[in-house]
Amino acid sequence: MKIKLKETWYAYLFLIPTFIGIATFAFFPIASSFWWSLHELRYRIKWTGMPFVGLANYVWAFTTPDIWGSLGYTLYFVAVSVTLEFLIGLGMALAMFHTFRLRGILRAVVIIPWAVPAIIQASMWKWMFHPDAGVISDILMRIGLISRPVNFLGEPILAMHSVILADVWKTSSFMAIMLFAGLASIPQDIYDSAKVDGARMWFRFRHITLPLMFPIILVALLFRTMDAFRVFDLVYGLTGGGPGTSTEVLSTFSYKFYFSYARFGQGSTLAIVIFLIILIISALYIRNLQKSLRFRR
Amino acid sequence: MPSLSYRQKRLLGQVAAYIVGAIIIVYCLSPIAWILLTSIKPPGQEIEIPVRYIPSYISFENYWGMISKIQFLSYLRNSIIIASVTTILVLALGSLSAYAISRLRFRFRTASLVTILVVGMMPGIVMIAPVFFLIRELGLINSYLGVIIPHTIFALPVAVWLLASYFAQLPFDLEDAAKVDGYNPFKVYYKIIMPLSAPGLFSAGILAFISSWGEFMFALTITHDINARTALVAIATLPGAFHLRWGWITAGVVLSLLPILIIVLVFQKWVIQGLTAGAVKY
Repeated sequence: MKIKLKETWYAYLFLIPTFIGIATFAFFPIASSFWWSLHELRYRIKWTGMPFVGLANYVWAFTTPDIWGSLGYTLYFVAVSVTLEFLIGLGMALAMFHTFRLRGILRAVVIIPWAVPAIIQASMWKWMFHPDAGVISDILMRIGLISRPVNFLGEPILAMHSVILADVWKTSSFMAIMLFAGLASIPQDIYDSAKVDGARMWFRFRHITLPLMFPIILVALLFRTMDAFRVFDLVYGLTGGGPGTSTEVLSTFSYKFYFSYARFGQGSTLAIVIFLIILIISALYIRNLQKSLRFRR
Repeated sequence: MPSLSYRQKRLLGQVAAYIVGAIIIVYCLSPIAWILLTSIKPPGQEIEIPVRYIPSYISFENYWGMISKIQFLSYLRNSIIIASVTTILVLALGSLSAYAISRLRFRFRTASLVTILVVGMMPGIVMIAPVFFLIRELGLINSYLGVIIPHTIFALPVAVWLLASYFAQLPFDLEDAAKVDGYNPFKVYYKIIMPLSAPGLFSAGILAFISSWGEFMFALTITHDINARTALVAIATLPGAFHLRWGWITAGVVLSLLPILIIVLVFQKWVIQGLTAGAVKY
């Protein structure tokens, strides 16, 4: 009994620094954002009071076309980007798994896009999308697909998809790493006995690979969906939300309301909307991890 | 199609494998190769129309411009200091918490872990403005510590998760023997668990370093000049006269990518283990 009590106190002692940190710099800020979202909070030379407005900011958010557009683009970005990166990542993982000789090189190569920080990725793609001297336009011109340079980031529909293309380059590499690890964890003898039974490649993929990889596919998809909803750096660096507000995602829009317009009430409202979306996905994610959450003793 | 012999099939398979391999390599590396190529062009050649692929000679003038005019090395130094201190703090706080969660008996074990994990998933934007005012209250705007604190908080959850799963795998016999010898939990932690956990600490440390090095939103908001700005923020906020100099920008990109790519390639095994821990059981 004495030992047990002691251990408990040590556990709390060890956790205290971490919990003070996250309480001060994560939970308190989240609570403040929520509180601010219920207020009209502007800064002009000095704070212009802080009248309580209830849910007025939320009504504003859901009745302003620009904000609707931004929410729409965020959802579109997440859906298209996660789908594409999953398909490309799965393709790369399968290729890595089946090309034994190149596996070492490919594994080193595939991890590189993942390691590129998102804001650097934004600079890289902005340069490749350059309206006059962009290498992507140039290659398309040389192949004969277009006759003059395309301003990828200058026209709404094109810009919306260029941002997704740039995102997929980095994130498909993360998918490939995760899915490759999943493939490698499937015991080889299952395939061997399936082969003996005469199972064809597609049949093996459909009935062995996919079901056995389902848990890791789910974890990877949930994780990436959550991450895609948080996107900020890439959009900030690549288009700044433009042209107009066509590529504005909720995070970049919120940041503008905070630090460009100094309208902290509205900024917080948009931030809380993303927060709620992510809270739901993270609940699903953690429920999924729960089997590994249990520790011995 | 006439049926192919076994040898022909194998050859075909190998050719296909190399073609697919080549496509993957081009897909992953060509954007980086293009940045590198742009950065070593002599001034003016980067923006020629039609695009000039091979520079007439290799020039490091862009790098020299970034280093002498922008003082880019100072920004790199800031990045190195911030990411290193963040890594140390994350490992210290993270290993203590992970040890408590994975090996000590107390009531809120799962609840503590879930709470910490949830923090790691929260979007930066929901915290940025209040954290900015908090850091300002503390007088830490434009200081290393002002960036290190949020970086540490956001890198902690992944480290706790990784380390907790690592610690949980270690045998309990050692610990029990040590307890018989009268070791208290803290002594067990630093005399037994920590020395046995070098690979886990290494994975967690590398991921923390990469996360701090690449973080943008907080570094951008909390710093405003060469005294604390990180390299990535410096590239994204080049002063007006320079912000369209793509030769310089690409040189800055190469310089700030280099440390990360070296770490990732040299310590590939640990990075991949860290990334996939929890999702895959090895």
